[in-house]
Amino acid sequence: MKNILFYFVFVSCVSFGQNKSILYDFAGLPQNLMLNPGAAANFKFHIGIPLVSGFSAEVGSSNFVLSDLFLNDNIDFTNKFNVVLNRLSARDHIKINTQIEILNGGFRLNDKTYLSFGFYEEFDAISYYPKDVAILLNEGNSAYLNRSFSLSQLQFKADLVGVLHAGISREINEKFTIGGRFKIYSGTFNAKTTNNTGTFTTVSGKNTIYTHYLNSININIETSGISNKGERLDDTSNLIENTFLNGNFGLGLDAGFTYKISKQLEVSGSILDFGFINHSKNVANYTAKGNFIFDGVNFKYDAANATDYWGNIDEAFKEQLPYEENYDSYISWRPTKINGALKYSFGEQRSRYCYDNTYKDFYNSAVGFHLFTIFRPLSPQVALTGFYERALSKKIFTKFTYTIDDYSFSNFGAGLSAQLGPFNIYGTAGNLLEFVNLADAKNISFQFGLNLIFS
Amino acid sequence: MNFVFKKLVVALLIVNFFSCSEDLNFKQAEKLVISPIYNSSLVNFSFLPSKFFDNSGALIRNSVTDSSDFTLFNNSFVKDNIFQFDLNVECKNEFERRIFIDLEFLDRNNNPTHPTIQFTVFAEDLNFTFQEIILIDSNSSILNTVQVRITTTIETSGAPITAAEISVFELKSAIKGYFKSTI
Repeated sequence: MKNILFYFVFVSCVSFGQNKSILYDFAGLPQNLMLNPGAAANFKFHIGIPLVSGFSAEVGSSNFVLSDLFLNDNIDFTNKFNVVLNRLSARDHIKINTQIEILNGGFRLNDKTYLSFGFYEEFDAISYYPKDVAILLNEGNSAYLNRSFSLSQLQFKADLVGVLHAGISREINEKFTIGGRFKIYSGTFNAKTTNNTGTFTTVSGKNTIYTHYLNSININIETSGISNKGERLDDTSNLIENTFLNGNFGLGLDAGFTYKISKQLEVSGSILDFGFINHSKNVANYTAKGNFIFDGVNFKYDAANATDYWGNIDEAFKEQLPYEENYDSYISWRPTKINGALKYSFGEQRSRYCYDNTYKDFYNSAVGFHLFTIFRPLSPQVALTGFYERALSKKIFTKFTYTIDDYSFSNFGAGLSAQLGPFNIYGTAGNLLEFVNLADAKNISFQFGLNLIFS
Repeated sequence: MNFVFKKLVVALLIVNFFSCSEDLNFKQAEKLVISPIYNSSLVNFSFLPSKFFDNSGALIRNSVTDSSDFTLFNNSFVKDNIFQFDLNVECKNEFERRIFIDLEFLDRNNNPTHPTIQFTVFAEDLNFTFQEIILIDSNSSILNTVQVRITTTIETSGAPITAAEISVFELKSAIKGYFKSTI
């Protein structure tokens, strides 16, 4: 049970999707197209270095840090655990997200159209903290008579998917560029429990010392990739294998635009991962639904008609609150993300050689803000980022950001992109101040990659 | 200006490359102890004088016995981690005679796993309470319990009672289990 409690506290909600506010619309990188398919692509073709063209990771927890628990300070661990437990609320969560580009390439179809394609793997998990369940497991019900422990706080989602994608970016005119991306998902692992309901309450009874109520219970856990018809899959090697279009299939769309309001001011936006996965392979779902009242065994003292009291209670429990396991296919919606940005360019004007053998002017500095939203099981999460971009030369670009989100009000990030001939290297890191001491970090993220870009 | 930015970029890269962490010890998690305490209803019953007397007031039987399966210790978490449980009993005796209660914990062969718990509820005691604290360390055989049996006996002599009377005897019981679990 303690393992379950530990799990609830530290691994309880999954959804994949990082806020890549630094990478968004940064330095004309091909990866911009993954965040906004309607971004301008000023190159003839590009190819990412396989497996290292794009790697990103983000780990975050909304109300505790590693040092709260694991600092080597000779304080009793159970005390630290209980302090953290009491501090957390049902809205607190922990999330993990990683993404690896296996392949990323693109080429210009004509002066106005750029096609891009690729394949990446992504693991995303988010778990909210089920405070009531954690209290019930950690302290029991003895001190909490008449308190209703809510089971609706159980919210968890995790995905491991491979994504094959192809996109198009088209310049409608000098001011307006739109784009879209079609995605085929291959989900190899999924586990989720959301929209649960129900309470457990212990009250002082009238004819009994206690009466226990399980009210409006509706628990639903859906999994794929964990077991096959009830047999647990021990060979996890096929989890990765199945991300190569051998798992549970789904479809998704990205769409985006960039509009130049003036020569210096532009607005852009995108919606990403508007799609679903139909889980039909290696599915195992678990449900419990109903109501049940338990007030103990009520002796009849009827020797002529002996009663199987406990058998009757057990039967009534199974009838009134049935637990079922099924292997029915189900659909999981991808965590859709929305980006929006306003950017004002200024400073020294420079020329950049472009795919059409012309030179395009650009300013060496820009400021703006970026709004990011991701739809999570409990509610959308929003991050607002202010940024300053600076081109140190025609080949070296920097970006500095300040982000307000669920995790921090002091999230400073930075990015660097350098072009050496066709060879491009970029890297970004969010929450730089927390890199100084990772143990005190609530949220850290980084992205880096290597590309060959041909103008 | 560019020089300043280049320095800033280099500084940020240095921060990243040399990011560090305070001294953490993840093995501490092995020392986590959780100590939940759970209350649960156990056995309840009530009966009228007709359980023991006929309409003339003659005693037709002086004791009744009933039993139920007791599956608490079938659960491995409970069996492995419970270190104490308290049996709490509340009675209301409207009869003008004493009631004697024998509560037994039995294993699958009907052998007692714990000395019989006995208590007496005096006549017309409407607020009787009783508590038995059982420490598992010194009563480990109780973990083999699969059945609980209660024998209720009425005092054979005393004030006359007939089956028609509406006085009632009630018994309510509950257990409080104390657990301590480590990883």
